Amino acid sequence: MNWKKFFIAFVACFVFVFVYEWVFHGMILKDSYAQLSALMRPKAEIKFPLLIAGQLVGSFFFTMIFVRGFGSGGGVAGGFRYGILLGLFLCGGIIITYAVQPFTSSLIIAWCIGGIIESAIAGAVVGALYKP
Amino acid sequence: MNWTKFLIAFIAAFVFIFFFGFVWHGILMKSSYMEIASHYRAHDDMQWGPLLLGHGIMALFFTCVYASFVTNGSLGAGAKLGIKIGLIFVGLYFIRFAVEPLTMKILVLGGIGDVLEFALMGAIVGEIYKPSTTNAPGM
Repeated sequence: MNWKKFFIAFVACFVFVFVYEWVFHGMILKDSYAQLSALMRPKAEIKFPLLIAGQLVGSFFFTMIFVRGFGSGGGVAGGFRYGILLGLFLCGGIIITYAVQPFTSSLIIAWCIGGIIESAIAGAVVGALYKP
Repeated sequence: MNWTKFLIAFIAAFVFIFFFGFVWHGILMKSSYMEIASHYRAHDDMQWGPLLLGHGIMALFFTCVYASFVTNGSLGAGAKLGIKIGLIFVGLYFIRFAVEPLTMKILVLGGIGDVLEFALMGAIVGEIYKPSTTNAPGM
């Protein structure tokens, strides 16, 4: 395993996830969250360090799975395919959330589509940067 | 791709995570969820169709990821993949805790449950699924 390339791919993945989620959740879906204020923390109570920690942990293991799976290098296409599969897997978790929490169906659909796109692009980024 | 083994592994994974989720979230963590009951659907309002569908999708695509990315399949390789995916879910729990008014108990127990659940699901898939050819990189 090439640890230097792994670290670069992990950092790039995290930066992408941070920016993407800031735009997707913080801007595009902002009004949808405002309508569900009972289910979300008020802005002043949002725990940003934990938010960042979560994205770091997720990006780290997202990159790690790809690197372990594509020991000989998967490239952009391999990373994209990996991202799509993992995005679809995570979509299952989102649908379970809908089953037990009163989120709106339109928000759940947006999370699924946005999540698959995010995961696919993150996979392509990791695939482009990691070389064994 | 060994489709017969794939189908068996997928069904076994689905049955396992559905029952694990029922025991872990529906029984062991029930009192934790009741502390913030308004954050969840009432029992009569639970969406059983999406609950089954979500578990089915997770089992299907976990098996897909395993079959696509793991060559020298084994119980251990599957468990390792499951632990890593479980740790992605721990990250997601951090994010949810950051933006939703969840309790610390739900964060901790939910995270532990996900790592355990996916590690065991991975072990099951790894034990059952064996590729028909070995032309993909190892895990």
